[in-house]
Amino acid sequence: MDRDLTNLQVSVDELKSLALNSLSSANKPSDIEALSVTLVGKKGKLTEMMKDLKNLAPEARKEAGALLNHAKSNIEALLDTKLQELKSKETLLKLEKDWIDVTLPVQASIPNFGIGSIHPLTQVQKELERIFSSLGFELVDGPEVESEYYNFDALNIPAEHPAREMQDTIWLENNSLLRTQTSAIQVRALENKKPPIRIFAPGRCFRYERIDATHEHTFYQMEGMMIDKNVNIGHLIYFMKTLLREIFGEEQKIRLRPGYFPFVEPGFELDIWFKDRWLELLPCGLVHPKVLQAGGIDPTQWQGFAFGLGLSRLVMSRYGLDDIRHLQGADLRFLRQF
Amino acid sequence: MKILRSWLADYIDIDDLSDDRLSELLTTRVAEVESVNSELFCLDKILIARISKVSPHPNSDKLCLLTLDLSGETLEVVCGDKTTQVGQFVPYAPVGSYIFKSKNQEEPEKILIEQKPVAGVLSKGLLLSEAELGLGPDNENVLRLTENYLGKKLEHGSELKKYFNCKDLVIEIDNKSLTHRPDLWGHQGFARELSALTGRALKQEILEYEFGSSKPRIKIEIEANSGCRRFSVLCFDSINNAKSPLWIRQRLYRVGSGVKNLLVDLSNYVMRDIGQPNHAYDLSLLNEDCIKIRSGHENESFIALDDKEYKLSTQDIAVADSKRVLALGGIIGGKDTSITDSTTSIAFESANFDPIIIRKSAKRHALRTDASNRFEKSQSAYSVALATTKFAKLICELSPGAKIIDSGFDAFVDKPKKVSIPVNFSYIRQRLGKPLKDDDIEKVLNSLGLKKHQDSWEVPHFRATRDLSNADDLVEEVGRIIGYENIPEQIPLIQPIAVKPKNVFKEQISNNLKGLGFAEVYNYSFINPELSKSLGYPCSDELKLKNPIDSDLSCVRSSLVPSMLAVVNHNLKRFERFALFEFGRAYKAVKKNSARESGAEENQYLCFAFTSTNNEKQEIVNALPAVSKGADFYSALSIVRALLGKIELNVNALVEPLAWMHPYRNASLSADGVIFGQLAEVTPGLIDSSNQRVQIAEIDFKKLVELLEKNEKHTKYSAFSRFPHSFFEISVVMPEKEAFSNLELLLKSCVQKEILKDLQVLSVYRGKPLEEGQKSVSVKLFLGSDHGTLSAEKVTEIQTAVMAAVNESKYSLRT
Repeated sequence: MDRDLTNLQVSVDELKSLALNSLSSANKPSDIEALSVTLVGKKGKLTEMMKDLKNLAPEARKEAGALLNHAKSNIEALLDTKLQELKSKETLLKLEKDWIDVTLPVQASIPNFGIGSIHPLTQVQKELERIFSSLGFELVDGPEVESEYYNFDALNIPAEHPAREMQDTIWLENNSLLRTQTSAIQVRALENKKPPIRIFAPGRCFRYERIDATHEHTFYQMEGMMIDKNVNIGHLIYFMKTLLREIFGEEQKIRLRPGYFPFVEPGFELDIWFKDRWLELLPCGLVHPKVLQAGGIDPTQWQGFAFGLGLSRLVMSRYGLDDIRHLQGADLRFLRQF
Repeated sequence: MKILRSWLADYIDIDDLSDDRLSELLTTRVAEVESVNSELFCLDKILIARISKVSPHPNSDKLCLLTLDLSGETLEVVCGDKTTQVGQFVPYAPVGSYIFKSKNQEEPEKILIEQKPVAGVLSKGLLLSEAELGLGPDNENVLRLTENYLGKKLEHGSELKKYFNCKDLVIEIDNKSLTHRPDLWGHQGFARELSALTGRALKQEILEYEFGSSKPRIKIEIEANSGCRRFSVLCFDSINNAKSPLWIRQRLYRVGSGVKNLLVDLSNYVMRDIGQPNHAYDLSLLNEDCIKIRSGHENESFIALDDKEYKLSTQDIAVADSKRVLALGGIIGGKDTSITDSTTSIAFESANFDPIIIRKSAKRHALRTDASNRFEKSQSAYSVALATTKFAKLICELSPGAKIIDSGFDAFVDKPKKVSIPVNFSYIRQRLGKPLKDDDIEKVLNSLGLKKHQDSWEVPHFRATRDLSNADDLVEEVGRIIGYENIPEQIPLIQPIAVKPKNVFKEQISNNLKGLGFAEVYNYSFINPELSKSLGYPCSDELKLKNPIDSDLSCVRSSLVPSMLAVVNHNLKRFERFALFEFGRAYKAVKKNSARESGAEENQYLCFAFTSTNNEKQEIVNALPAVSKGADFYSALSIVRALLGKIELNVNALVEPLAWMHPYRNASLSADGVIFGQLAEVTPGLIDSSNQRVQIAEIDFKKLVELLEKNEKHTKYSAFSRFPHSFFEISVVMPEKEAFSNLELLLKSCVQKEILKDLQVLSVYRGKPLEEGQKSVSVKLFLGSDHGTLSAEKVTEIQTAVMAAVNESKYSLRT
């Protein structure tokens, strides 16, 4: 019995060294395929050896079977590695015909791609940038991957606050998150600037949301904030009206109503009168003293207001878009319309 | 959450407010009204009929014939409910009246009743179910009208609408706008707001139930730190737990609550009235006389009312006796002590819990109930005894004979502190921007239940939750009650701030690319990590998403290329030649030094791509020197040069091209010693269309802008030379795959920088008589001086030096 196994081991070893020898001389993928047939194919050597197992004593069969299976997978792995190696060598060889001297200073003309286009989000954002700049607001930029602190805590939304549930958040493995609102910029801006401050911050925001025609996990907002002495609700109304007049090209009928956002107090929803009904347009409010404090600003000296514009929504209504997915769809049939 | 106009009217007189006005007042002053519905409840012509005879239907076993007595008139109808009996009072819809034919009360369908034969017998109208009347959920049986149910003496022949309030308004409030207002989770809360808004007093004030201490049927023990602030129990017996009266069922039905039996209905009713969640246990099933409120034990099993088993943890609040858990505190009651139709005695619980614990617990068990929704907003602990008062009053009224059997037990272990807000009225005026009189401000604060103590205002218990706590909160209260439309706009006196324009280069480059025919795209910030890795951009584990929306979007991107490649392939399905670009961010994991850091470095990139047909012969257009292949790659370089303007671009083949790149058509892009991007043709296997080539460049936009800014800053005029340039040409034979840049370096090293004005490649030649593997590059060198015409000798000298240098190198001159 032991002798049978020892003999088998010898044959397996022989087969392995045969495989290794043949592999080293193989230089194209078809060589490997042929080798595979001879060694582990249906009528290959190893298969024949497996068939012989039935001649062994039943006790030895199990051990011998394991030995052969192990050898088989071993050889197959060797073959596969070599095959991949040869294949990529072959591809590389084929691609080498494409070699060009990339350093050659060729003055090549630029092909004609037809009419180009600027994304509607960029176009609307540009327009708003012009309006904000003319009102003395400065463009600032904040990170999209944001810490819990700036997105929530600093905005007076501590852990376990129900308001966190209002925004389904996408979290990262490093315990940071993708900002759920451009308001995350507020405290960063307050930390970096001295009042008076007038800033606006357009940007990409993220929520944990399944996408359909009206929902997107990636959307665009524009935050605005003004910090100055003795800022009151009347000033907020004035600025909002001016802003909306510039955006829509004519005076807009608006109303403020209570809205709950922990980083403003009082907080409002601003509605505009549109096609005979009130339409919810933008959240705004007086900056909460805790937010000012978080930004290192004395709320007894300075106050301000903040507001958020839904850029994606503005773009959709401006161009009559019926499906928000087009904005991120990168489909030329959509893009070339702008 | 839905509220009813008729329910509000229990508390306050609002008859003079139209539906529209009421809804507008709530939206502009209190909370957002999502929708209103008044269409449901106008059932005219429905009569009360008395069944005077029941006979079998001649043609059907499933139907019967009923003779109805309408007091003076009798008629016959066919009926499908065979449980009807002589003497019962039922609602009857005569021919010509309407009924509702929909189980969905949101979209009821009105149906006209016509005289028509049913299985061969003419039916003069129909008997109706509760659902067909729009009064409740029961759609199976003909509604039996009883005095108990209607709450009035029955008269057959009279119109049913006399017996209940058939006009109403269902007002749906956006729950998000109630996040910070625990007091508004019941009708009483909205009535209080309307009282402040109209200046009218509430019609009724519910007082706190006065629990005794002498003879509690059930004792309460609250474990310290369990998260229970107050727990009260009051016991009742001799209850007839029948069907609730119509008005209770109707109200609950209209606000979207289930209806079951009197006890369950009243418990729900009280919650939607006061806002205070509560629970009734079947007293006969409580085996012990002490209830303990404690933290859950790890893995403790509990079967709830919903028939599901929950495994508690130490983070849950358990209401328990010595052997079992009776309820998951603040969230849901248990199955084995729950109310059944045959319950006659109960222990009524009204309690208050820590909002954060409830919130976490409900989240952990994925069990958001009406109770947990309210508790997690932080209910006032003083509402506990209001609910008890209300429940006791209703049960004794509606189940005659029911009585309270003990003193009750009230364990109020964690009394909330009183909240007082010191406020200066001038601050309120300042923030609002409206010169209000002190009296007017006081009036508003008083109407909201705040009480003045010297310079401070004490907040009523139902607003002293987490809601009102500082002067700015009072600014909001005054502002919203007087109405924001009454605040005039004001032009602010502001200091001018000079605004530096930003994004100038971005705008310029976008417009340039647009002019070249590029379309701007916005791609997602997410990528499939396997795909990204296979293209040469492994995602760091730290920046993988914990809760990806989709496995294809489970990591933030570290390059714009993978998504660009995907959208190129997408558009190749329909278009052949096109060009795309994106400005976007890519993210790199970095170490977090504090909790305020995001642990990601974000950089803005410009990525552009374009396609071309895979026919190299066709591509040889307008290239100088003429090239036999790779014209598109050179076009891509031309685009990069167009972005750089007069900054000189340096191109080098990448030492280690990335997996997506063609191994022989790739380059790093640099200028002024700064590497600012990469460009490559996409390796053929990655393009979905086999007869297309794609070029993609990714440019570090910050570095590009720095280069452009620096260039702009250092631009100075210099007088141009008045002296003509000389030139000479040489042809150098070099190995075919030797980079031209090496020859360029060699040539430049031979001529002074000031004298070498330009260096142009005229042609690259392969073929006979050159040896295989060799090429000949013809170069034209332009020489000149700013100080005078170069002499012929000088030019020859330079030419000789150049030729000598070539001959000494590994290249040779072509002769």
